[in-house]
Amino acid sequence: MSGETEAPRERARDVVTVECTSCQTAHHLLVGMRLSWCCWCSSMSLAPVDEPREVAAPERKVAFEIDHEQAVKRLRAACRRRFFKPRDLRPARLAERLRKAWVPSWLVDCRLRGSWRAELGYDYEVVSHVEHYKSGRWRSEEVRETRVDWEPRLGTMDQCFENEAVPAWRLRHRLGDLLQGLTGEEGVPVDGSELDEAPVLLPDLTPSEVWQDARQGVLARLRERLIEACGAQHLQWLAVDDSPAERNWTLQLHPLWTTWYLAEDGRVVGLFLDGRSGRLIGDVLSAPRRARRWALGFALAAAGCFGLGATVDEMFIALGFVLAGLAGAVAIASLDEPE
Amino acid sequence: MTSTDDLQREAWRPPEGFVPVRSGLPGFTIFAPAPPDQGDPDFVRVGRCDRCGGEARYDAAIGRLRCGHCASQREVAAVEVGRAASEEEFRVETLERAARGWGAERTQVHCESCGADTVLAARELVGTCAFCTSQHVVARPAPQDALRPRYLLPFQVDADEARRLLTEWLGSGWLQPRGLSKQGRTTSIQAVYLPAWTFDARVVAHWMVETGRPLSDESNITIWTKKDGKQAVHMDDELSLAVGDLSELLFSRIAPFDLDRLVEYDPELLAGWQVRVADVPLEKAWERQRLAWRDRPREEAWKRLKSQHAKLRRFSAAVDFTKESWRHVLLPVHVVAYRHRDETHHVLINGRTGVIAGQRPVAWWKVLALIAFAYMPAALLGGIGALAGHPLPELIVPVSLLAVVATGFAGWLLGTATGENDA
Repeated sequence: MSGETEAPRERARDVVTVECTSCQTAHHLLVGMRLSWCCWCSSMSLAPVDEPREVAAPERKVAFEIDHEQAVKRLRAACRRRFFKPRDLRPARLAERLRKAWVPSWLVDCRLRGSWRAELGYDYEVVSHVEHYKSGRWRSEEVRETRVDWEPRLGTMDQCFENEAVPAWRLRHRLGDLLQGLTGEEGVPVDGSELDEAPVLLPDLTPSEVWQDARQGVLARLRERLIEACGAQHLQWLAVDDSPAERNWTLQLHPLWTTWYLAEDGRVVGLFLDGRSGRLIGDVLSAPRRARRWALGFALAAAGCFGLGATVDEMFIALGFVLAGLAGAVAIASLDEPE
Repeated sequence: MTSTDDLQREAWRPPEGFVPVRSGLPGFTIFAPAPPDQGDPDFVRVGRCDRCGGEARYDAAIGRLRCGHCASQREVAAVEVGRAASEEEFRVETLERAARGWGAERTQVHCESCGADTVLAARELVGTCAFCTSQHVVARPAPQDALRPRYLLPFQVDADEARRLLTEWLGSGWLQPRGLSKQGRTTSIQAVYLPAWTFDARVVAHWMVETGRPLSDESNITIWTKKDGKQAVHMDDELSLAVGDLSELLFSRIAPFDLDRLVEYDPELLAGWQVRVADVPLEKAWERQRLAWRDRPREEAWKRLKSQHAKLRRFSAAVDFTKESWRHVLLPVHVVAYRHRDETHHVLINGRTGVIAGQRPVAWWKVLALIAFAYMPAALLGGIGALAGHPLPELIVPVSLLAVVATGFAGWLLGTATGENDA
């Protein structure tokens, strides 16, 4: 690895490290800060680590753009989506448990030098025709169609890429595509004050472990640049024989609001809000048992109405149909949306 | 200090056949496949003898370049591609992107009489127009906006063979004036490469129709049912002449041309030969071809439906053209324009097969004499019968029969005579 520069390591003296015995996620907390549950799996089995890990110091952070009030509003909107929801899924409860956290990612600057081969697509227009025949008369219609001409290109490159962001923790799949679309351009240098308010998830992936992920991002940017350099519109495949150099690594923190609720079956379900966009990450589950009870009630009432319709008055049959429809609607509403 | 990477980058070389192209961003060097050979721009090589530097000409009889001064011969490196010759799409930017010019310096000769444009080798001069035998020709620089032909069929029938064919053909008719074949021996024959477009397309007619059937055998009520379907026709290498002032009828009579033997365009194959400039634009030729083609699938669908159903109404069709492509080719033709009694007559000879078609003057006294001769048996029979005292009703039948036969012969004769000049 030529020109490799890693983020400066430090051992903060005023922080403690706690580790979740359930998901093994380690958090850095400021001395005096209290953390009752794990930010990522919401488990309450947190244990202090005797010897805090020596980790790279975060150099940049992406500031929170969603404050507590806005976060609660978004959670409330999410709760409204479910009619039959678990008892614990209440905006007040979620707001009570809502807290900030920082999740780490690596930013890498690098320089790619070497040769490349690619197949690039160039759009062109062709003129075609459709001839319409009706009532003994012809009418011509010109049709323009865009086609792609694929051509090989190759050459050399010497390109610098900055701030390619990759997640720095193994459990990133929990947060789905939180980092999608994230660029290092949004980060600002860490001033420390805002970090003090929230636990920091410690990176458990080293730069060398995330390099392959980062390289994919770098190659995606290289593809865009190649399309522009070649004056093309598409790129079909790209083969690069490169030697990355001058890699500089920076630890960046991303803002996250975390909270949790108990599902109907007693499971702890975490909910997260992207601190920049307010996008909700996590499942807002329904309460199928409650819904089924309601559906059963409607079904029994419908059956009763059908019985009355047969014996007393036919008007009850219509009511029976309405109640049966309600029972079906409730049953459907209890189904969770596919993830 | 130069790093190992720098050394590796400097050592990198593009594979053969790739040429550098402009990069739109700094930090990239880009190589693209070299464009196809557009012909040798060094016109000195074209039509020049390697040995003495004299004027050389492609000799159709031997299929080689032959020096007119020292008679040395040289192979022409023409590559035969046949129908595998690449075809072009109807790109919007075709006119801008297509290769232009002829690859060698040539002069365009414009006839002020008939308007024909002919391209000649730089130093070649002609005194008369190949198409109307006019003496009024003006030399002007060859236009560079003509789409360059990429394939051609080299001449196989040389001037001597063409003259023999012409003389034979002129002397072969029995309605022609006496001595016409002698004119074939003296008339000038111009060997010209005529530009043509070849077109390919898949033409699909999506038709809709209402078919009718009677409600029952005795009923007059018709039940109408809507039907639809499609009929496809694949058109392959249809030739369209790219010069507007030449008879398409004559051209169609000397067809076909063996497009299986197309060779890649090489300026050397044109050395010493005339080349007509395309004056029918690609778009116009394609439109003409399209209008000719669009009826075929519709007519086929209609014919099929007519054979299957007694009653049809409200037939409509949308004819879709797909896989359209074109080529620009040069075809070898000997053009003859000779004058007979102040009238110009045109003859075309296929430069590959020797098939000949053209206009021939007719000796009308011969035609009239033959018609008179044809009616003679009827007249004789009627006259002799009347003189011999046969009653008229007995003569009417045989005389009428002979007269009908004579009229048929006269009609055929007149058709043949006028057909000699219908192009």
